[in-house]
Amino acid sequence: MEKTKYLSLLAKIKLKKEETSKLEEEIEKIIEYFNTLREKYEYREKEEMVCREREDIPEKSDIELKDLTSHFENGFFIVPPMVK
Amino acid sequence: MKDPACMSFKEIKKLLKTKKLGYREIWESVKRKIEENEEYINGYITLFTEEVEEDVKKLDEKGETPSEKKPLLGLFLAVKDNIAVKGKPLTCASKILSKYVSPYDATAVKRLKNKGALIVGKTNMDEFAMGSSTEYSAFGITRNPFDKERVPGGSSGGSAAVVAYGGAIASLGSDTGGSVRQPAAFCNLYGFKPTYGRVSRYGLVAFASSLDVIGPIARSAEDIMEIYKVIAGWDENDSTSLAYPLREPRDLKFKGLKIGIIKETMEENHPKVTRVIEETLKNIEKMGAYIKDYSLPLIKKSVAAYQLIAMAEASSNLARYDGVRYGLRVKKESIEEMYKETRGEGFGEEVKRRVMLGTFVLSSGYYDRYYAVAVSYRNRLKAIFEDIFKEVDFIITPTSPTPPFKIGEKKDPISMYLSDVYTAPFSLIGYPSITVPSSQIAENGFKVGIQITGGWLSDEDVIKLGGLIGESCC
Repeated sequence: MEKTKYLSLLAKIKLKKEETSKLEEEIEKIIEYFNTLREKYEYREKEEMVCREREDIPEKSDIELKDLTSHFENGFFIVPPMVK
Repeated sequence: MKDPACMSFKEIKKLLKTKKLGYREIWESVKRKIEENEEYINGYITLFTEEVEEDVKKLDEKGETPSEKKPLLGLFLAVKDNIAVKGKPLTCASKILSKYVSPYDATAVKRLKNKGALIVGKTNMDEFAMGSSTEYSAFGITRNPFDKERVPGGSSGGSAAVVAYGGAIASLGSDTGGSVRQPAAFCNLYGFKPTYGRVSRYGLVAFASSLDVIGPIARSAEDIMEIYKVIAGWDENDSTSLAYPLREPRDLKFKGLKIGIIKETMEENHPKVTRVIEETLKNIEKMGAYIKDYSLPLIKKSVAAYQLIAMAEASSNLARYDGVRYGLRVKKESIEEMYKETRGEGFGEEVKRRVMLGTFVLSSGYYDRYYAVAVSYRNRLKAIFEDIFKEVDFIITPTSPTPPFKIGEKKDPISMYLSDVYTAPFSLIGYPSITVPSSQIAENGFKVGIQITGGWLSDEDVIKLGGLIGESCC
């Protein structure tokens, strides 16, 4: 299914220079923390994944984490299709 | 006689009915507490002193006492500033809504007013309910009345602080991941998060719509029950509101009661928190309850899943604040510049962080890696708790892993998010939870919050057990 591209208004925020570097640093740490959700865990003597690994998860994104604040300046995000 | 501002509503009601106390005396006492404390605590954003004065005058003239029709007469109530009160400011503690006035009452507020409650004012909070300390407010921080160097918790920190110092008899807060329970625990009070959908969200400013619930904060479980019974129930204005009728609580006794404990919630706490919870459990066991231990390592990941879902929903919900329809507008040449400048100027630090992260985790290439995983975690957690509640009646955990922390102590956002580690799991599954203050002081005047959670729609039983534990064994 083709992806829908549009200028996302909800992403628009003007950031001050001093905010940008602080936010970039913090957001990187928070995303790292979110990655822990993908680790396996033990429940009732069974090793489980929270979410089954799927083959169709896109390998790449058009947005790199390091460029996140500039994307907010431009308000540009690629939104995945609503129905998969 | 005890200062009326420091009484529970149950005590006030009894005295009003027997005419040993008048509305004027209660109001004067509450007003005095506000005058003495508010300058430093900063629990209120707006006060409705003049309207309350008028209402008190009318009540005293009529000589009406609390009745079946108006059971909440004499309840001087504070309302969190993300819940709509008609004709009054609704700021969400944000610069972007600082001049916005609500044109209607939230369903919960309307029901409380109809039953006689008097709204004293709107309370301070973390901006758009995003925070756990009430430090992220455009109207200044709120301080804990028991130790002014410490936070009152959040995001309903103002609602907890004003009840704790006597500036209201009870209050309404909103709980998305622990925002009623954690501040109530930090201020030695009772706080209740109903089953998701039990209380209408109509008039509650949306933060994370699949998690948001309105809940009361009070000085006793009876007061919580009294408020809950008024605000709960189906509402045609909220499509997620549940249509099941309210019921009386079960005839609960400790003997034979089955309580579940999750090992992982007892491991990495402040030592005094763990000690108080262990002693409470021992007492409950002595009175005949059966304690069953569970190991659930998954629970440690609940904050990550909660934050992912809440941020994703917040990024969408807060898109409406664009300078066109609500509040602040920064004038610019182009409409795009106006959007960007208004949101940049109007939102605070934590809100910007969450909107950005929420948009990021919903964007192509990251949706499946983050948001879908969090949704899957939520479903897994729900299935596990459904199994657990087939074996036990209630689950007991600490409300927070630590006593209230110092203002400015948590500089790193993740450490702030982790304050919700024991409340977030029950928000994700939508089950009812109450926090009950321990009778023992753990540290510096602070009690420990004991969190009791029951199965889906067991709200009345959870409040009842909260009362039993609060009175008899903690």
